[in-house]
Parts: sequence; C-alpha cells; structure tokens
Amino acid sequence: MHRLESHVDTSSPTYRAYREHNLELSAELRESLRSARFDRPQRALDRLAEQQKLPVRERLELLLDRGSPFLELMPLAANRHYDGEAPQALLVTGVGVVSGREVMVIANDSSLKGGAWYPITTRKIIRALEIALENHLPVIHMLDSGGANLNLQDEIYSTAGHIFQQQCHLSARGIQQLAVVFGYCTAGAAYTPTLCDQTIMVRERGCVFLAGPPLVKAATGEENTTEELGGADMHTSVSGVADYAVDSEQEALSLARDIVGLWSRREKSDSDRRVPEDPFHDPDELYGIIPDDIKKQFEMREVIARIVDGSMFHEFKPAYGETMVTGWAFIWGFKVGIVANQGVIFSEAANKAATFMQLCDRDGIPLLFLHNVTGFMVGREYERRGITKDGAKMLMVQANVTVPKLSVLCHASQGAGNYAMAGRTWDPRFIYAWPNSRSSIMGPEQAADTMTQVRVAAMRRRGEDPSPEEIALITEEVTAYFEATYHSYYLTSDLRDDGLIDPTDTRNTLGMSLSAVLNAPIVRQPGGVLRI
Amino acid sequence: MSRPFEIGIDSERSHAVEVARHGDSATLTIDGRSYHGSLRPAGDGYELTLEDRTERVWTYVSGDTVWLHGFGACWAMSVIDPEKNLATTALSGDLASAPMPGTMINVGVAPGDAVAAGQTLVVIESMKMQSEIIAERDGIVDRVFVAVGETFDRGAPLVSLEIVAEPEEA
Repeated sequence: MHRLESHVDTSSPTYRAYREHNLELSAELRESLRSARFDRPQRALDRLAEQQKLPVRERLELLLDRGSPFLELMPLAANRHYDGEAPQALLVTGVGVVSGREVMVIANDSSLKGGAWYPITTRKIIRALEIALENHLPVIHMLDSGGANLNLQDEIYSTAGHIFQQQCHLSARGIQQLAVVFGYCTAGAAYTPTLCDQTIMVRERGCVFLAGPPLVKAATGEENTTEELGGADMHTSVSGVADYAVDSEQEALSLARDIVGLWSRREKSDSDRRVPEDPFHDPDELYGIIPDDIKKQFEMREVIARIVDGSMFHEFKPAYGETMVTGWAFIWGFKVGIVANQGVIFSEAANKAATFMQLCDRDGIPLLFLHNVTGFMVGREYERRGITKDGAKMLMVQANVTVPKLSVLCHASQGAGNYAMAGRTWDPRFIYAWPNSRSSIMGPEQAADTMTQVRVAAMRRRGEDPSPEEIALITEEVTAYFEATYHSYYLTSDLRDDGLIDPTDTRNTLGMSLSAVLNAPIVRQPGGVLRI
Repeated sequence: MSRPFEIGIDSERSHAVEVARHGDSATLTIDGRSYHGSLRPAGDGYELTLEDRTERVWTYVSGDTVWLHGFGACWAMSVIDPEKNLATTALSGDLASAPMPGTMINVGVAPGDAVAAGQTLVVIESMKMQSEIIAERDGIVDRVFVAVGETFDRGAPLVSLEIVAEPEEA
C-alpha cells in the first residue's frame, strides 16, 4: 500500500468554482435535513404537549447512548412527494447505539397527521427491517401512529404485509425486537408490538387493538373506552399481548435501555482490522474536486484519498481498464475492496472489476462501489468486440458475490452501469448519494433527442407536419421530465438510496455502515477466481 | 536474497538501497557503497550494529513515513514504491489523441501557443461526459485537428505539440 498522491491545485479557478458550487449544495442539504427533522407548526407541537407526548427526536435522545453516533437513514424520504406534507415520511429510522449495542431504531413521528403511514412510510419501514435482517441488527420499534392514510390505502396495502413477515423472519434468525408503544397501534399495526420479543406500553396513551372503539361500535354495537379495549394495564395483566405497563415515556425508554442491556452482545464478523487513521489528504477538499456539472469528469483517486485511512491504497491492475479503479484500503480500520468509476465502462474495465469482485468475495472482504458511471461504451467497434458480453460478466459476478456491499453515488450513475456498480436494485447493504449526483436510465439530452425523433416520426406517419416550435416543445417536455426524476432529491424522496450525504460525511457514514454490516457473518465463497 | 528500493530522507535526498540478508546479519548497499551490520529488537526500539559501531535506534511509522531516532538525531524517511505512479505514467506527449469517439466541445489553444504540462488543451464530450484533454508536457502547439462541433473516432489525433529535438551534448 502507498499513500495516494494528490494533484489538486487548491488555488486554481476551477477548484474555487467547484468549491463554491458544492458548498451551496452542502448548505442546501443541511437546511433540508434541519427542516425535515424540526420544522413543525406550533399547533402540532402544542398538541403533542397536550397529549403529554415527547417529540420523536427527544424520545431518541432518551433512548440512545449519550454522545454516541446515530446513522440516520432515509432522512429526506418523501421530501418531493405528497406536497411535502409528510416530512421524513413521518418516520425516523437509523442505526444507533443503545446500552453499548448497535441497534436499528424505527420510530413514528406523530407530530403531523397523527404519524399516519404514507406509501413511502411503509417502504421506509420495510427497508429498515431489511437492513436489520441482512446485518443482524436488533430492532427497537417506537410506535405512535394513527395507521395507514386511507386515501392512499391501495399503495400502502400492496406492500405493508412485508413488514410483519420480516418481523417473523427476524425472530427466526435470532435477532431481537423490542416495541415501545407510545400511541396507537391499530389494525394491522397491532401486530408489530405483538410480534416483538418484548413490549412496553405507556398507560393512558399507548393502545393496541385490531379495531378501535368507533369501529367496534359500528361492527357489534359494543361500547368501550380505549383503555378497556387495548390499554397498557389490560394487555399486560389480562391478554398478555404486552409485557410491561409504565406511566411515562421517560420510564418506558429507561426500561427499554435496561432490556437492550440484557441482550447478549454479538461477535463481529472477522475482518482484517487496523488502528484507524485519518485520511492524509483533507476531506474538505472534496468540495473543490467534485465538478459543478454532471457531465464533467474528475479523478476518483482524489476522492478515495479523502475517504480512506491514511489516504493509503493498494491499487489492483493500475494500468489496465483505466476507466475503473480497483484496489484495497481501510476505512475506520475496516478493510474494504474499492471499485470506482472514471466515467464510461469499456470491456477491459468491466473485466477488471469482475475479477476484483471475485477476489474480494473469495477472501471475505466487503466491497465499496464509488459511482461515476455514464454507462457501458456504445458504438460499432465496441459492439463487435462484445461489450455486452463483458457487461454481462460483470453483472453476473455482481449479482452472485455475497460479501457485504456498500455503494455511494458520487456523481453520474446511469444506465446498466448503475446495476453493474451495485445500484439500489442490486441490493447493496447500504447505499448513499451525494447531493450533486444524478441517476437515470440515460442522460436527459440523449433521452430528449431519442424521444423527439420517435414522436416526430410518428406524427409524420400520421400525415402531420410538426412545426419547429412543436418539435422544440417535445424536447422541452422530455428534458423537464428527466431533469426532475433523475435529481438526487427526487431519488432520495422515493427511497432509491439510504440517504443523501454530504461528501465530507462519507468516511464516517461508511465507517458506521461497515461496523453495522460486520454484525452478520461473512460467508466466504469457495471457487476459483477467473482472470477474465 | 536481495531487493532494491529507494529511500527518501527528509523529502530531499533520495538513495538507492539494497539489502542482502545472511543469517542474523545483512549487507546494506547504499548508493553503491556496502556496509555490514545487524538489527536486533531491544526494549521499545532496536540495537543497530553497523561495522564496529553499535547504537540504540527507535522507529515510529506514520502512514508511509518512518521516523527514525538514533545517533542523537531524527530523520523522516519514506520508501519510494517502484510501482507508484504506474497508472499515471504518460507517453511522450507529442500528440494528444481521442480516448474514445466523441464530439469536440471546446478548443482552448491555437497553433503557436505555448502550453505547460497539465494545461487543458481541448474539451471533448462522449457518452454524456466531458473530458479535458491535458498537455502531457510543456511545449508549443503545432496543430489542432478537430474544430468545435466536429466528431471524431477513437484514436483520432486532436492536438499535436511541436517536436522538440534532443539537445546535443555540448
């Protein structure tokens, strides 16, 4: 291994222009996160206080170990959906430390809409549980939701069943679950606390039932109070649906910490580890390295040098398939194999990446993918040399290597290149995106060109003769659609990643993610490595 | 068995070093001169014997720098990896050619312009991305082969620099 050399000129006009641009994106991201977490109308906060409920952030503070890091996941969920009326999809989730144990926390935010589930809320819970399952993270459910938003029931019901099924699978795999019931758990949601190992309920406010008093009255004529029908005392002393009744949220969270403290600690999976060391090159310089335009290229080694321990890197096949950088490094002391793009993927680059992934898989080394990929090379020469065959090899290896994978969308992530680099649909354990990143099936300009050609040809076949203005309008429409839907804020809103992160937070985010993934054993794959 | 490598001291001087081990001792060749010696762990450092002289030395490794304390002084030493910069080794740099098929976006130089190594010559666009074509050496622009908006194939010449004759021995 040797220290990567940096060739960044921090006094150049380009560096300064990039830096100014990226600092603006950074400020925008910080403000978006702050707003999604904390901006609530005063009446919403007053209502919580009336109900003697704590805001979700205060609950988290009481639950998590003081001063410990919390890796919040999908914090900008739904920021571009539902007219912004469900910030964070009214749910907070992340990996935190409780009584010294890494856990997945899933907490409803009832400050708005009674903490109702939107379709994205459902998918966010499912993703959090999937992360817990894959990485063997115990789950703490902090429940306080009015239930599904019935105006959107179709989209919710089509996926929500996974939540309860995943809870059953977690149990079978020996991954603990604890529920703290702060508010309503009605209908399907009643199964979440009931499927947990242990459940705490807050008296007078927490309740669990298949149907609340109004629905029961409508169904059978029977009249009940909430406490009679599904309150803490009834469930802990009569039905046995829950285990502990407490008087306050503070007491509930203190008891939750006690319970987690009794869970056996997990041995982390073996992985070569070193004493962590800060990067030699300053991560703050990332702002001046990342271009101000998605089409502009940059040197990915400069990024690696600002993420890894000591900026130390051992590059594999440095002179072959140069649009792919592969090699080994340590992040927060954890060994990783890095696969990073330098733009377009050629055959040699795809083959190098495939071999490198096989090497890491055989040796049990987690993989980190740093995306800046515009796709596989197109054109006559490349088709004749079988670019698709080499792309297929990379995909085949990518799909079947089983070591933990982490992905970061650093800039462009387009077309099948996104799949080959373990994009969202290729199931990396964690995937993050930088605010400058963009991801779509193809670039907006290429799509606009193609769609315009197709539509104009169709119009001409129908005997119409579109004017230049009409043609320009088609191009404009397609471009606008692409610009909106390949934007990082839109993608994170729709949970295509586990969160937008500031480039300078990449190292810490990956360090926590690597720590989390090592809770699950790494299964080494027998088999030879092909020099393809 | 011996292995040659290069060591830099206090980021100024660079020395060619070769170590040949025989049993507990070794022959050290530095810049062509040979020394016989041995190194044994001692306490939190080492005992270094070089010819007839024995001294206590201590080392501290930080990244790829080794700090050596001994002989009443301290040096920062770095091992220069022979594989380093392999990926960035440039060719002669007389001709900048197209790494892939594409379109010319911007031409920043004209024949006769003096350019410095690392300076952007032209910007090309291919596969949705713009790449800067960089001068690999200092020189004078001889010819620009492609105008803005024109397309080119892989390997097409883009910019050439005037060939510099090897200076003759005086």
